[in-house]
Amino acid sequence: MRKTTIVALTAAVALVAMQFGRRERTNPANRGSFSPPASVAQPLRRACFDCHSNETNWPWYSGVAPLSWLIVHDVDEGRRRLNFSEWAEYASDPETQRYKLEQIVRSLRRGDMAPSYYRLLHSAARLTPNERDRIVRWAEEACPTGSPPR
Amino acid sequence: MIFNFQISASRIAGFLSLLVFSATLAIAGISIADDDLVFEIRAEGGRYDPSELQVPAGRPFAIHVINAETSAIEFESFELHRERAVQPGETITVLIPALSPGTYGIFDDFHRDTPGGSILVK
Repeated sequence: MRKTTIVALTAAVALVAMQFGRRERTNPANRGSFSPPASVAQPLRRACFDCHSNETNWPWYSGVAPLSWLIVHDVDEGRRRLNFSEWAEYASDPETQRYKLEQIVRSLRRGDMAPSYYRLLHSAARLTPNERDRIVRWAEEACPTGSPPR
Repeated sequence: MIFNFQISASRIAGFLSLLVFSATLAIAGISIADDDLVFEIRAEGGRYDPSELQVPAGRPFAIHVINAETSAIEFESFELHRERAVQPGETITVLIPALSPGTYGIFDDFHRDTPGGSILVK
């Protein structure tokens, strides 16, 4: 059997075997009331909610390992760090809510979010400067106590 | 009858701080009454003390997080949806609503190589 055939067959077998190790794609129930103005909610939902909410749109390839491992990991981590569907949980400690809002402002001002590799593949995740400014203004005004975030 | 008394500036500041804090709690829908539970967690030597904090289920409580380190820490819990930076020498108060029995992890996100801790709710 030719070498290339062996390599191809091995890769195919490995790919099939990987599918048995797929991680579960979940969308838990929403547990909070997150209701910013529509002008803020719309770009947040479009650009951020796939990783930072329980309303992830899972594309077909997110079910194919090994890509699914990376995607599920990113969503799990994104939800752990910031989950808009569980905003009421943060709000029950005003200073945590304030800290989360500060992080949103910082991430957007530095251009950290959405990650560049994600924006490359998902044009919808790109925020216009106007959208970014709107979200930053909202986050600054929504701080529960004291002065706006730095 | 004339009452003479002096109110020091520090007492006024303390009273105003209490007013602001209480208003904040009222807005958040959580109140820490005199009989509510308050616990302490100290960050020192690269660990939380106690490493496992036991609290009763079904009652809201507060945690005073004391940073006795020489650098800032980030007190965080994914399960509890809590995240706060604490500067060296600072003490913060973290409000927690009533919890169901279980174990809720806590860690210092600024020092991920240090052991975390947990809050055991019984």
